[in-house]
Amino acid sequence: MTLRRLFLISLVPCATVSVAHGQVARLDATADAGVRRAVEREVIAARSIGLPERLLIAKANEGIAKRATPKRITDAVAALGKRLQVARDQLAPNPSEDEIAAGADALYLGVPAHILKKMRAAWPNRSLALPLGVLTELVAKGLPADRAARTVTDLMTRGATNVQLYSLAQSVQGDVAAGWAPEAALDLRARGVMSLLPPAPAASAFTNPRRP
Amino acid sequence: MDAERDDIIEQAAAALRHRQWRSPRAIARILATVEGRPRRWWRAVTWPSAPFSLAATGSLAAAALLLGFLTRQATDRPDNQRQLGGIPAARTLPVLPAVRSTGEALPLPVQFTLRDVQASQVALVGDFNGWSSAATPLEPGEVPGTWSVTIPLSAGRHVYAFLVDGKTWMTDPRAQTARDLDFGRANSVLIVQAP
Repeated sequence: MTLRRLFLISLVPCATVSVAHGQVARLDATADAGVRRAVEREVIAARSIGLPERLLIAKANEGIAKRATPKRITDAVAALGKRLQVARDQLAPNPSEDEIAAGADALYLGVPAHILKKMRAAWPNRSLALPLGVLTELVAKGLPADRAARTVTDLMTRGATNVQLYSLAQSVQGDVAAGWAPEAALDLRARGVMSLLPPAPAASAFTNPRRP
Repeated sequence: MDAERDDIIEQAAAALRHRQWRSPRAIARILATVEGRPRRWWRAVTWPSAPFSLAATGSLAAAALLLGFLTRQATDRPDNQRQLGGIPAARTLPVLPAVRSTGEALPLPVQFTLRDVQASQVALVGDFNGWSSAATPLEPGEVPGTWSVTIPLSAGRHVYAFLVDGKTWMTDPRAQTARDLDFGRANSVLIVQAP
């Protein structure tokens, strides 16, 4: 093997580590050395498969700001890496970083991965960042993920706007804060939005056959 | 059948004999082939395995180091500068076009406020600034104990909190809270509406 070949081969890992190190430089200065190494590993792994590594650094910084133990921080970063990958795959073909982050948040609260795919099918050419955020918030308010996903996806399929989805989330939040049961609040508020939309198309993207 | 094929070959040969070979590129290609001289692209492909001088190695190493340094400089910008295009968040509100493959929303200005008469400094930390305690400080208002900052946020759900005096974690009293299964400290939640 010639000197030149050795030199070229050595450039590849150097470049990867250099960029990963640049990202990890954004990690809080007070980060434990073990955390720093673990995050660097995750960043390199994320970069190699095209995931937004910035989100991993942010997760580590969140743990540091909350004074979590190094183990909890590294576990959380690793788990986020997996969620980002699932979200990216389910939101294919070209999800934005905001969409991947929103998808990972939805998965974090227990939304099944296949729902992300169905939402993408409902809005193939529009950003899912807000609909996913609305879904995540509805689930966070105590609604079953399937139920909340069916409602949100039906609204998307029927042509609801981001403003209407946002309004739905705000209204349900307010109702739950006022003591309503989450499911009752969602049902009522979804009817309100539905009444403003055109009739449902023949085939919904969210295939859930309803019995008569 | 053979006679017919011979006729075709004859016609092709005659046409080639009368053709003027004026293209220097074509001539060079023919000469290179005849002399066995490698073409430029072949030399590029075989470059890594060709003999290599020490001076050339040193020059390439210096170039690689310079490239690495420039890359670091480009990627080491703080998160607040990345988010706001280098403009301090509290002073101006640039609405930057988002780079997305899908989607239509632009960031919207969102104001965060807190009332804490005992605080001497307050920072906004959240998923939008990488949870950096240095990225987005709140500025004190004219009325003592009031703090605020306005930043552009992309559409969607965001989680955040206030960090008071660099150590006290505080959720936004005006916002909903979200459980944090990773670290156990609740965050505040905000859904930013797309236009």
